[in-house]
Amino acid sequence: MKAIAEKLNAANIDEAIERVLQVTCGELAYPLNWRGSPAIERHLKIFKWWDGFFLTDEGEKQYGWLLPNQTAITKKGICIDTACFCGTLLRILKVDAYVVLGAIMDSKTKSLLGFHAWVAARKSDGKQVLLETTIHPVTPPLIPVEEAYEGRLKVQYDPILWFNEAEYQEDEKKVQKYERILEQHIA
Amino acid sequence: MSGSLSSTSRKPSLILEAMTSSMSELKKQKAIWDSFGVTKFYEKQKEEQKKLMQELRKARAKKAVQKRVLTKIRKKAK
Repeated sequence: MKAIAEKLNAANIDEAIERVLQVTCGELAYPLNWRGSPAIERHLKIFKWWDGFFLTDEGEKQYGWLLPNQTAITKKGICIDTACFCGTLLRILKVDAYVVLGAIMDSKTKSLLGFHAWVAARKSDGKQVLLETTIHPVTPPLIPVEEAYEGRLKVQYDPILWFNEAEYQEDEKKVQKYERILEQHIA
Repeated sequence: MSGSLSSTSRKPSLILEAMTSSMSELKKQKAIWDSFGVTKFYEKQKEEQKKLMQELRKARAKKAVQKRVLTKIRKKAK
């Protein structure tokens, strides 16, 4: 990961944020299985002569996260994998950044669509931006966190917990809120 | 980041469990791709994956036929 970070030749924090997002979105891909569903399972097969292909209906159907170096090698990852990859590169480049786990809601209806992972990084002017790491191969713009968290996009990002290599923090009220929603859903 | 913070070690297990569902993952991911206007990339990738799977099935079927034929020839030769 250090070698990837060094290759980016970022002169300052803002450049580092932009280049890390570029490499995350440009060089990685979102894994889909042959049914077109996200390949969330960690049983994978890669055929070099097919430029990578996941066969997820074979073997154990388990959910797991890839380590950033595993993502770098497989070149594929779901939200949490690419967010951890992006977050790690930013932290190596001394950027104030966190991997954030949260909920995605429809901005209009406020209905819960699912849970997601993204990266929040602080630019040199002190403003926080959201890095959406699951858009491939185009690089999405940096989104001011207020826009994403206040529902000014089509989907609303709601952060629940955030972490980097130094700390882990969670919004207890939100954890309880979403756990209640999930309990009702399961019941 | 704002909100009431805590650094407890209690992990939000229900939320992590919910992340393991591929169906909700697809629903959420489609909404995100749609909001960034990149759904076409997903559709393209989906088609490519389908084609690759068809090719794989064809290749497996061809190999199976070849194996059967080869076995028959070997048996006859004996």
